[in-house]
Amino acid sequence: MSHRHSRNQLALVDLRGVTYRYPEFVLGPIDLIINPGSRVALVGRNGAGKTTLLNLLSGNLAAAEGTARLLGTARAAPDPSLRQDVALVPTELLALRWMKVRQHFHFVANFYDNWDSARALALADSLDLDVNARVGSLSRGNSLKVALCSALGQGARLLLLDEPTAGLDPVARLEMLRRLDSRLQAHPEVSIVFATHILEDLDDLDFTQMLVLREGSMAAEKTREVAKEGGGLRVAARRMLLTEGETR
Amino acid sequence: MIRRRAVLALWRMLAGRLVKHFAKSVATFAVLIALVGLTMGWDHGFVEMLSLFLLVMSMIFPASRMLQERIHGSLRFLASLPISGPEHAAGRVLLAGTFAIPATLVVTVVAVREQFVSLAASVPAGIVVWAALTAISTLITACHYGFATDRMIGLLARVALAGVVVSLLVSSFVPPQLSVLAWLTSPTGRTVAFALGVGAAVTPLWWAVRTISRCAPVFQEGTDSEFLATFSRLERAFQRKGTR
Repeated sequence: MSHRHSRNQLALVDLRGVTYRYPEFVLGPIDLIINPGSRVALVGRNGAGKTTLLNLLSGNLAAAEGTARLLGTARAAPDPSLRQDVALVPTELLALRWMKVRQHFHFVANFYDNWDSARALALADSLDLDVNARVGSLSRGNSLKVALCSALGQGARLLLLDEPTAGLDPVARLEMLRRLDSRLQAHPEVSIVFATHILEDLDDLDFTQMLVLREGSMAAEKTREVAKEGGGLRVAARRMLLTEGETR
Repeated sequence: MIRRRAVLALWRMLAGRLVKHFAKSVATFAVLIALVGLTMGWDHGFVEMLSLFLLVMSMIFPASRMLQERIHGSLRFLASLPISGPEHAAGRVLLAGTFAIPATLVVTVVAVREQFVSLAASVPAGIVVWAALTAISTLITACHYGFATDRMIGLLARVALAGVVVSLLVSSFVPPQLSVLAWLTSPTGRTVAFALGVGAAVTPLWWAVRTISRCAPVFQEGTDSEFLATFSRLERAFQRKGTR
């Protein structure tokens, strides 16, 4: 793609040859540009590097090699200040277990400059989340709902979701995707990177771009328009993942 | 820039937990002392010794409970929030100071009322307790954020030494026939012990605050995971032992 060769000053994310190394796993080199308003699906098998990539995008990890420009600034080290504008929803809820959900929202509100309590509580209500329940007593699905409400409540410009629908029942999953979609439509400048194993998610949220990770490398990158000719993003992802399985 | 709202929120949350743990510790120990007192008689020397021991423990227990909470994921949660290093350090110092005030008051009142030490000695004793508790509280945080294990052990040893000095300073219960203790209760001995205690407590505190301030509170996948994994192993081993 031609835009790869020139630095995009407006891009929320601009990764060039970014690599991250664990003792037994290497992610990268990754080249990636995410513009404002993008809806990016991140697909790959377990251990492909999706979570590591999300941690790099959130500023929790710093690239070992390559350059990473996040929100317009090059980041050479982990940077907590990014968290005002980048919301990461991990697979496991990070919260104080003894707090009630409502307390949790009030507590985190103190740290985010753009926190919107009404938005977080409205989403919690629509997802049938009991805000008087203790965080430690919540099921995985409900913990996920808390994380999503927090992410949307903080008013971030970039949402990074790590398998957000994995623990949800079908009704809650569709409701969550609907809420996410309406949030993105109301704020078209907000971008998301949505890592998922559930290929149906690719149909239910209107993604503009799909990345397929394979063993730490970017196996494919498809735009919605390109994938449309072959049956859409879900079909393309399914084909690529099955091909990967067969070649193993 | 340090945001006051963030610092106060951190302080409020942590202080609330500490007060709860402190109240539970004091209540538990009060029952224990009452039982021993009723059984053995209130004027028994053992009751005095137990009271002082439990007083010290009631100050240490809340801090240890906070450590356990962090092992259960609080550290990662706090590290996931947009809190800068100086904000975090300010919150911890404020917390440690607040936490130390009631303990200092208790020690001072006990020392004065029971005449364990002279009034003049009780004030520096209180200051040392304050410094030691401040150090313990901030050290626990700093350990998570960047201390190497060997340095952590060295600094904790200094804090422990400060605790010993404090307990000696308020220790009229120790047998007076021991000459070294007699010296420690003399004006010269108290001055030396006080200086040592302050030095032992303040040095690690300074290190701890500096470490937290400089360290971006980002969860370090390598060191913190290793630290937490070690504690998890110990915890599991302890639980297995307990269920046998």
